[in-house]
Amino acid sequence: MPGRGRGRFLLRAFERCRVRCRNRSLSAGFAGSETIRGFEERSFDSRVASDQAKASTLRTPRAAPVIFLHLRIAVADGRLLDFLISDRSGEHFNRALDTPAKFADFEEIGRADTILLLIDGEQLLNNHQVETARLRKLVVALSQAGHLTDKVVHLVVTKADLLNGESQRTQVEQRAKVISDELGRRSSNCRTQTHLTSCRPLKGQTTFGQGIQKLLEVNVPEAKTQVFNTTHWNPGDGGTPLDRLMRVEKWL
Amino acid sequence: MSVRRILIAGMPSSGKTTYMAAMRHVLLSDETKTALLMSRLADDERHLNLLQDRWLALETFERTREKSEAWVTLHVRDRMTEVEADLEMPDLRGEMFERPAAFGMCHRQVAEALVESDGILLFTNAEKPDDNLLISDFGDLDDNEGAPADGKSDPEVSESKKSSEASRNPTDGVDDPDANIARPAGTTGRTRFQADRMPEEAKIVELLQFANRSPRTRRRRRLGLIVSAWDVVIDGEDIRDPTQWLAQQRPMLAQFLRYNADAWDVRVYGASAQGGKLPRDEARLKAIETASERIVMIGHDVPRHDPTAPLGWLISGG
Repeated sequence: MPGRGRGRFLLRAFERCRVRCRNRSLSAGFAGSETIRGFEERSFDSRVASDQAKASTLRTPRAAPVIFLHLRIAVADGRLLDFLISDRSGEHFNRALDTPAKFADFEEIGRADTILLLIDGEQLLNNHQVETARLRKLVVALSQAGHLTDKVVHLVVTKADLLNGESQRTQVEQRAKVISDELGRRSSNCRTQTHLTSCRPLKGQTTFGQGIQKLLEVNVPEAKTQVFNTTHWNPGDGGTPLDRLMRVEKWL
Repeated sequence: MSVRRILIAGMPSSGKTTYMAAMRHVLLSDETKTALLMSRLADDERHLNLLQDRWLALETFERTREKSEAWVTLHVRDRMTEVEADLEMPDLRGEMFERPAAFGMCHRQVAEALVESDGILLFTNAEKPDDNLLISDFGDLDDNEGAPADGKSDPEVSESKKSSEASRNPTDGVDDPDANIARPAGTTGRTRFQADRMPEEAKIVELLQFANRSPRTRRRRRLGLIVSAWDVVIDGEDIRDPTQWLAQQRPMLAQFLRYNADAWDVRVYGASAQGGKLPRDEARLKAIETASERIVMIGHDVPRHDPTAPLGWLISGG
């Protein structure tokens, strides 16, 4: 949905990995990206080099098709994992909610291993019935399109920094849990988790990107899990699954 | 005798040419103890002669321009093993190395040099700050990400268009040496994203990824990473180890190299090829009797005035 902080969220995920060396408590590190320019372009308006007094993030253009960002992350056990993150303009979702059959065209959701549904934490606090109704419509539509079956869905509550104190955070988490439970009921074999996140530090704290590191960590598949499945790679070839996927043409 | 191809790479103003000039002087003069010795002069010495003369005259090196690009050959002998090698090295504009990241393409000359190189000497300038600094490192993020619900023109579309237009003109502003230097938030004006002004480490990472990207076969190479203008680090910070500097000032690149150890065998060196900042230190540098002793090297136990040591390590890589 528009304004739910997708841009900032992606930026923070990138920054979290990029500057890991400055914060050795993080267990994931930057090992590469096939879309460095894409991340940089989205990050630019939040950089000092943009000469802006206040940071912002480049929004996904309304007319843009679905785009993909790639991040290769080194995890604690030494594996390199390729995260392919799809990003689509929030207006696409708004339009599809009026004609739910359009969600069948959102193929990237059907192919995703994990879905992140971003919820505006401030809206969930102050305007929760509208926000919940909006999420419910989205969940029903995605479920009807079969996109949620056998999926892991993370309900990511953003803008937690705008919540005052533990009581508001707890209230928002409870409301997110209600949505999460409903999501589980409506979709077959869909596992859900909720996360409270914030790109800025929570009030009274100094850590940026609250909750995002944990979200990256819980999305690390088990060591034996195959991230990509393709029958066309050279079994003796090195590199990660994405490397092998990119070499498919050589073996056809 | 073997022919070893060493690529000297780095973004604009990263110190490549100054280092080559200093190395040429050291090899020819044999004034200090070095890992490599010059075995004989090359057939064409014009470019190296010019560089050496300017280095000796304590001239500040301008950024390499297209007309001053050249491939140079150094005939060297390893002092310890007596093995002789011909080093073929390009002195190319930094702009040539930023094209893969900025524009998704690479000049054929650079692509071939990357693929065929036996080792890479890669430069990053300590005088350039970490240009990835976020405004939120100092202040707050603005909540201006929201849907234009009023039906007016979508600002994101025009922003994107402007950004693309800016990217289409890669020569805009490239003469500004401070283009990538971070400025404090709140200063006047607003700078649009320009692909060729992306942070240096992002461009370096993409260059290194390019070297191993399909259809090229991923292989392990030696990479000597030179932190140039090391005198700046000595003057200003308590960092004494180039590897530590890299982790702190170029965290993205440091992590990339660490987690791609199957592709890159890395050593990080600090180098001050001029020996100080010009024109500030001109008098002090002129007073040094042996010009080669102006050079300061640090890292991996290299002799203090030996810029050939990283090359010696690169060519011994098999």
